[in-house]
Amino acid sequence: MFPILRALNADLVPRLFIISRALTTEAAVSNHTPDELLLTLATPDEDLKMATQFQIYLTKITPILFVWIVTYFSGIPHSFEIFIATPIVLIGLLGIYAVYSVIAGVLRFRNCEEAKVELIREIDEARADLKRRNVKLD
Amino acid sequence: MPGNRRGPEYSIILPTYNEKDNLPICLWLIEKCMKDTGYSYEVIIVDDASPDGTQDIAKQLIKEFGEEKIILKPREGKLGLGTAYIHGMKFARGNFIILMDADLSHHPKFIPEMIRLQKQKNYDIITGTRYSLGGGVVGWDLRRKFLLQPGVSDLTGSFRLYKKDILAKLISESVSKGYVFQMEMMFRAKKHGFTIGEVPITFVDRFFGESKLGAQEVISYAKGLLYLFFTVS
Repeated sequence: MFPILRALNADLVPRLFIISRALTTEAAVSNHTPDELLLTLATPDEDLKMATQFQIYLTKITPILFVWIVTYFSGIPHSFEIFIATPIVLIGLLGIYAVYSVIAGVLRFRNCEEAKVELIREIDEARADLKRRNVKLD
Repeated sequence: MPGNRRGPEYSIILPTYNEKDNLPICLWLIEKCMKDTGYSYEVIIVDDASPDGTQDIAKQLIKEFGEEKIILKPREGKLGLGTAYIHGMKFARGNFIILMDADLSHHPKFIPEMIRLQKQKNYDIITGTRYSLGGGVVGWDLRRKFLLQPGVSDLTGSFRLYKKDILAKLISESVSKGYVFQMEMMFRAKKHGFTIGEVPITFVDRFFGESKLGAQEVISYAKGLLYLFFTVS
């Protein structure tokens, strides 16, 4: 399944995205008809092969949004408050997780105290050795 | 495996600007750490016309360590990191390029570790990471896959070993400046599907005695991440 999704993500979906965006903006600003623009865009283009991470995220978020909206208008009984609260809570949890992981990263940053001491010792050793070998240091 | 008789296997590119105090120590440490490993290497110093006499001390060190080991390729002015790497690579004889800083924040003792790891699985890139993952690996996998899926835990690091043609490809594709350039190279490497290994390193800022990670770097890192997220394809 994943190779298919990856192929879709990498090629078809960004292609559609770019085509639709191009058609709406280009048609508005240029003298070309949408058909002419489609022709130019139908030619294979190296740049269309990869999508930005943002575009890939859109392709994943959109179906979830779609399911969520459909659920609201379906017959399944639920309250309006939960419908509104769910995405906000999920985004809040996401935010908390992101902050947590950044803080955890900072805390896990190795204490370089021993490395600093060893480096200072090596610097003295290096300077002494280089002086012996007639390299003039300041 | 002994080095290629026709030339060194590993080319260390050292961009310098006003490093007259750190450069001799750095080269001395490289020699000390690589001496008994059997790996053949060369150091290419790319100096951007340092006014403090970095090139003079470099010439002295060439006389002492030998012209085969240390090569000085100066430039006329401060022209940036990416172009310094390109300039150095023109003269590199090795099949592998090691990029590092000359200010002793990157310790050469990690270079043999990087080489060993690269040989293990023939990695395309080895990156030194300051965020060494001890326990709790499961949580960290989730975090790494979260925003950018880069596959490396230290995106802004600049202490790395590359296969030569892979580095050339990544440099030619990357457009950012400064250390976001380092992030972009890693990101593009991941997008290309290059294999990346990690070696935990310690990173010492001599003058302040602490790691270089501060609030400012965290904010810049976040800004760089967002830029890559929205623009790099």
